[in-house]
Amino acid sequence: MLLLTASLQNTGGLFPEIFGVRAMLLIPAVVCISMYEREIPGIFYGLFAGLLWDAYSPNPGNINALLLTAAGFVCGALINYSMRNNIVTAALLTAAAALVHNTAAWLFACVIPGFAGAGRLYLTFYLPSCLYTLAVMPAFYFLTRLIINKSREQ
Amino acid sequence: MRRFFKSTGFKIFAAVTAALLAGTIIAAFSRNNASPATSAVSTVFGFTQRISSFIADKLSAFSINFKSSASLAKENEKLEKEIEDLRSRLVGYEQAKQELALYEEFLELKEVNPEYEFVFAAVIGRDAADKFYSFTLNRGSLHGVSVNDPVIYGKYLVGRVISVQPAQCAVGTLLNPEVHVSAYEVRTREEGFVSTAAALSAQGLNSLEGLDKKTSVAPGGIVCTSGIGGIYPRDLIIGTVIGVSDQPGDISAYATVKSGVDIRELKDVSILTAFGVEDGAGNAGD
Repeated sequence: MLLLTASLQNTGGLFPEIFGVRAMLLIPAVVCISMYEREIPGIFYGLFAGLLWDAYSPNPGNINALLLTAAGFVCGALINYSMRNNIVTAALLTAAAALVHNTAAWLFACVIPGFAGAGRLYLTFYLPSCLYTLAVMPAFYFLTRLIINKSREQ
Repeated sequence: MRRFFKSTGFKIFAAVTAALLAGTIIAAFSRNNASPATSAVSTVFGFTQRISSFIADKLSAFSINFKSSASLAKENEKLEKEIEDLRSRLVGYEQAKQELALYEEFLELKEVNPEYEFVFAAVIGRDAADKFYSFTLNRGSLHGVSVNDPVIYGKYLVGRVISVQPAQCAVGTLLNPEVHVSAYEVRTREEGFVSTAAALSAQGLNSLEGLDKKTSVAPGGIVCTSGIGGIYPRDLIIGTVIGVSDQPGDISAYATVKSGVDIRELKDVSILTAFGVEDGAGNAGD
């Protein structure tokens, strides 16, 4: 599922863009999987998803792997210790993860290098991308639940 | 709370984070600008990128035929199948014609510069979180590609390689504000450097900066690489001047440059792995 999601997200033309805004599909995928699998598997699912994303990224280092590993761990731990596993929680966690990831990506890609127009880019690309990512989250939540339930039945 | 920080899960998370940070530091100091973990994953799972890129290309052609077929299907099924067959042959013909034109440009470039060595590559992915049209190619260090190798389309400069893995590489294009190219305008021989900003990049434009306030550069002028710095060879075409303006805040002027290729829609490019004695100086920029 993560391989397919990474391909959908990072191959031009496979997943629709809305006025140039793209959905970061790996974020809801990792959040939803971690909510069901809890924190330790969540770390490794986040790590794998992040490394797949970094393979497409022009930025050196493992920034996506770090952020998605943290997202997998935090979401799994929150569900394990203090929150309920439902779609509202999934929406909250996805929104938070998307906001943190996109803000970090904006900081590393635009603010730190000192590009002009970075503020406008945040409002026209990175923030709308968070909303688009949140909009596709329900599909991942229900798909993950279906896969988990099927595997547990077997 | 203390129990949480002493839990197995937190310890594993801390260990994985430390390993990733170490990989990031290795990437920063390595020649390839890629961490070992990312290189390993891209090598093992790189085939999925190629498959998805192939599927995306086929889907874009199929959807047009399908919509057209749907409108004709009820009226005449036999003619509809003939039209589909002719269309697919036409698509193949147009693709072959485009490839031939591309190879003819490369041949001309190679004949003028016999010391150039090329590696042909296809675009297999674009980072969804990157706003500056960077892309991933299906050639890497195993094919002789190195960091800072220029990437071209025919005679046009597209960008340079910014990180390399064994079987793929990432390209920073001219529409990335981090990419700067020493350049000159062909008619007036005035020199400057080509870069871009977020607002220009969104329109597919660059700026030739550092021009004199009384510059003679005018719309229609051709901007080429000057070869200064050693990253890019001389006389690769960057684009055409579409306007000249005064630089706000200082006494220089700048020209707005439009590239001869649509970098946002590229599917195939060529990587210059060698172009003479001073190729690939290994610097981060010009």
